[in-house]
Amino acid sequence: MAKILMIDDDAMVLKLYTEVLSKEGFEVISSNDAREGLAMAAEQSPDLVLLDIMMPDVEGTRVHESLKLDDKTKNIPVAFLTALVTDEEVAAVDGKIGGLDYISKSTPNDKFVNQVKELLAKWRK
Amino acid sequence: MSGHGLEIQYEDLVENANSIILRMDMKGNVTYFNRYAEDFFGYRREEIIGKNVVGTIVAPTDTSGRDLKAMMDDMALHPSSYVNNENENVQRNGTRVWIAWTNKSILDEDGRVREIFCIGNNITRLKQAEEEILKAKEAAESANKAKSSFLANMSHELRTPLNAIIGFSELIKEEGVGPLNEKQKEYIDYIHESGKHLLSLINDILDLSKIESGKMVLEPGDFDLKSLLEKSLVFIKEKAAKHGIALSTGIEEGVGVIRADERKVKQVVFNLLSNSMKFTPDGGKIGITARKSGDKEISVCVWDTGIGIEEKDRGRVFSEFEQIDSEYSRKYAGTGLGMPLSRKFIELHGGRMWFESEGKGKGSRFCFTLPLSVGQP
Repeated sequence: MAKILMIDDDAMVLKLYTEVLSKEGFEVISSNDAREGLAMAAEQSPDLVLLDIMMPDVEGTRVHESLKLDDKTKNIPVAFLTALVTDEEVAAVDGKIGGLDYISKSTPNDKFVNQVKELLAKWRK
Repeated sequence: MSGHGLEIQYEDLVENANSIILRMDMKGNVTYFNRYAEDFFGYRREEIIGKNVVGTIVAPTDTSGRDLKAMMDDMALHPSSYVNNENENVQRNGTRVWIAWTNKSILDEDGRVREIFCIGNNITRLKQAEEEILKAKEAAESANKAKSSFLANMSHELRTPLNAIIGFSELIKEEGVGPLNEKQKEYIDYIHESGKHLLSLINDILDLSKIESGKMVLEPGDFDLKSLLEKSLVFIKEKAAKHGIALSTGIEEGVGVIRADERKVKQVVFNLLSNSMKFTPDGGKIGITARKSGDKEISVCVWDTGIGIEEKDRGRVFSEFEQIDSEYSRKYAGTGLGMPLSRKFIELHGGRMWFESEGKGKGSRFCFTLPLSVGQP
């Protein structure tokens, strides 16, 4: 089963989606620290990184850049996690992440799982 | 009357006019100063005639820092650019005033400008009022900006903990972390539903504030309205069956692909259907009808056999935060923002929204129109 790395400063978010995704059989590793998350990505080569876009210390987009700069992690698919839901906010995020994938944290759990599955299927192609 | 008499009359007119009237030569030296000007600026004519306007009634720079000396020099070179000119002047006691001037060139026999004839009106109060309005406008704009950014931040701050409430309660509710007894099931349902209700309220408030600030934009695309309407019914099918409510559709020929903002149209239809569900007692009926009206419009109606709308409540249906009767709002939870938002979404498309009801207990029918292609008259 696929291994998913989550990086989000909010421990509750990590706990929730770890539960939700493990229940579906995914192997979930996580960190609430961007630096530690980067190290985990390099060491454990997950199949997908879910990355919080707004963390207090560092922006998700910076972490994404670091992932893409490292040979060990540059091919790992990344999707952003965002607490935003309205069109306007998503459009603003869109501009920032240049058409990269994102999942809203307001998504119901079952749909969240579906979106993760879709992302994995998309990148497996 | 002789020509000489006329001249005296004109002199008298200029002298006693209730306007500032003066003349100056091309260097800016005053050559004439009427009585009103004397009173207004506080110089007697023998004090000012022969003196330059700059340094007397014109300060070298005005309050905003504009170089008035340069302006006067330019006026001497291009008098035709200054026929109507507003600028700051200064009275002898130092009081700054705003004057609206009309300046006329006086030519000599060779057609060269010899002097400038100036008539001025005091517009200080007008200028002050203008400034105050401008300041008030700026204040209002910055307050509005603050409100928008406050709403955006607040919504983020509110949604983050809400997402945890909704997400975890969902997890527990589905017994994903262990079995629940009946009471636990019931109570976790309350938490989950309340969380979702709060989230939709926050989203509605954001949408509404966006519409008010003119920031809501449509994202039009082509989609099949017929299939959208049919699919919408599927979402309430289960709940309707549970309450013995019969669903029906009456979608006429000609209702098909339109160009509109699909997400918003869907939200409107959902809102109307869920209202009908809320206000229709068990065993009732709910339906959707749609037809092409004219060759540029489609009209859609959602009807039900529910509690209807009383005459006295008609005016409140599209008001924000209103739900008919507090008795109902307790029984039928809702944000009270669904209808005003729906109507605004339809109006953004250039459509109309209205309702019909025969009265209490007689059901209601909510209708809207959409142009076949948004943005095309």
